[in-house]
Amino acid sequence: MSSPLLSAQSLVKEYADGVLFRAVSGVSLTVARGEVVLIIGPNGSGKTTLLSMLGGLVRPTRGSVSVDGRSLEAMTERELESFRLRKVGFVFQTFRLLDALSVRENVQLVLDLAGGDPARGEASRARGVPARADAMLDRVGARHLAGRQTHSLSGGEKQRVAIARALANDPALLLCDEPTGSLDSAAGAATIALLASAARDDHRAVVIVSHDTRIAPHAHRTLHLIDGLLHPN
Amino acid sequence: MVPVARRLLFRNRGGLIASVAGVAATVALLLFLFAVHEGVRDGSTRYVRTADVDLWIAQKGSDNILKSSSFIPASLAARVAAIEGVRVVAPLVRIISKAEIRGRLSSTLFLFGFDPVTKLGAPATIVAGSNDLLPGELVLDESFARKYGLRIGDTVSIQRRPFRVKGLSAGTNALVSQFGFVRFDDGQTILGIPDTASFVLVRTSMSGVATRIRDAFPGLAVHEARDFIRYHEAEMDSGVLPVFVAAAVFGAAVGGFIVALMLYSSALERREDYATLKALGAGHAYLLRLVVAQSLLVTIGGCLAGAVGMALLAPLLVRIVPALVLRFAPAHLLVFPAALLIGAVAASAPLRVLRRIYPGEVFRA
Repeated sequence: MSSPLLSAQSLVKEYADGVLFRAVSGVSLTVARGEVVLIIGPNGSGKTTLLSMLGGLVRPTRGSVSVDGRSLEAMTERELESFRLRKVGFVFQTFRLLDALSVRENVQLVLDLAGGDPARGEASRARGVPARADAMLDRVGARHLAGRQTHSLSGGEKQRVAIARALANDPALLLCDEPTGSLDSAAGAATIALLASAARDDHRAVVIVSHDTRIAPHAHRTLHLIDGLLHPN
Repeated sequence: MVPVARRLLFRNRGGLIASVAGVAATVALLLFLFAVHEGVRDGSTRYVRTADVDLWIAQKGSDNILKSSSFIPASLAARVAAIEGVRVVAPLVRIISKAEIRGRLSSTLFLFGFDPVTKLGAPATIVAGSNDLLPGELVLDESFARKYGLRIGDTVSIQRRPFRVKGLSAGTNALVSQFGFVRFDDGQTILGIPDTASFVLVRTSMSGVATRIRDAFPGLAVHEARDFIRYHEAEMDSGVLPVFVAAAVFGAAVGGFIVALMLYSSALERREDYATLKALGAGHAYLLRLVVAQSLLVTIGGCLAGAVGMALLAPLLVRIVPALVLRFAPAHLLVFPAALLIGAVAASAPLRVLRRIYPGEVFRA
């Protein structure tokens, strides 16, 4: 592990819908490259809100988030979009694959949005998209599914594809929301192994929020989020 | 590039088919309206345009053969003939009447009585038979004849006088009524007023004849052919153009609403997909491009289907409604860019929905 990739300082998120509701109450967190951090907490503890702020989907009421040395609060909406596309890979509990697209197209989509294969030079980026998508599917053991429609896949297969999509743009940070929540134990174990590998082999920072304590042995740190406050294990 | 817009459209085949059909119906309607307008415009003016007449003399205030009355002495023709530069001159009488066909009254006929010797005012295009009329013979517009199942040699009755069909003419159909032609003497008999014509038609051999006739007969209107044609076009446009324009605008609006509704409901149905795209980093401009691309795909599909549909339907419509004259002109192709523009504008319908989609929705299980 090396220097922190992700640094969150005193994050607070308040919602004012008639009454003031504080979802996250001063969370500070650092995650290094290659590190897997598991955040466990009951429903309503603020896990998803915290993940949204770390991924630049929601701006904090107070506090700051920086990723790879860049502060998120200073970014415009367009810069945040670019940040999410290139620096963050999202893995969701319900996969969020586009069912109108094939498996390969789901992976290609994020590469298209980012302008092509990040491993290639500017001139050949776009040309490298199909190969990169296949390589990512290969990486998660889903190459054989490339031509299938996503609605025909099992939950475990969908999550593999979702992880391939999350890794496609070579992000430094993986944010995972209940990645095993919709999977049986075998598929859940395979998913955990893939995420751990993404941290270990590619030196990505991986943050997982989950109820699933089976993930804990694979995490370098496990933190508890209770009533918007983070507690060490 | 992944064809996301096309994939999203084809994911909802029912909605796609309904939308393309809606646009196709709109495009077909617009093409139909323009073709009818062109047909009416042509039918209302072709007789005047092809009459081979240089000057039309009428009662003051009368400037067309369709919607104005004109009564002048038929003997005026002889006096006009004496004016320098007049080469050929003849009276023309117009009667508006129904014909009795096999005991039943027809729709209204514009009946013109022309001079059988000079043939000034005779129909220029004869598609069957001839316009060499003997007393008691007439030429009928071909669509009128088709409508009532008349053939050469059949007899119709006008003002209780029998007329044998001698010929069938084209370009003599003004949609709401068609033209028929008899000899001038028969026309006068039907009119029942001696020495009365509606117009005196003149062919000239030199310029300046109109001025000389005006000077000689200041109480009459003397129209040069190009002006007379223009008056007919203006008269026709003022009468039917607003109706066609209104129908076309409503048709285009309906088409636009269909596309807008399809895109709006698609944005609502696929809200999760759009939220996912936003969360992954797709910008608002990308989503806008997706919606515009879907709109254009539907519109292009609708344009093609509408054009093919109209091409197949047009001959059938003309067979079912013989009075209908459909004329397609290159200018009608403007329907397609107009439809694309409407489609692009319709793409703005779901913008508010797209803007309000919160990317954090992706975390909802």
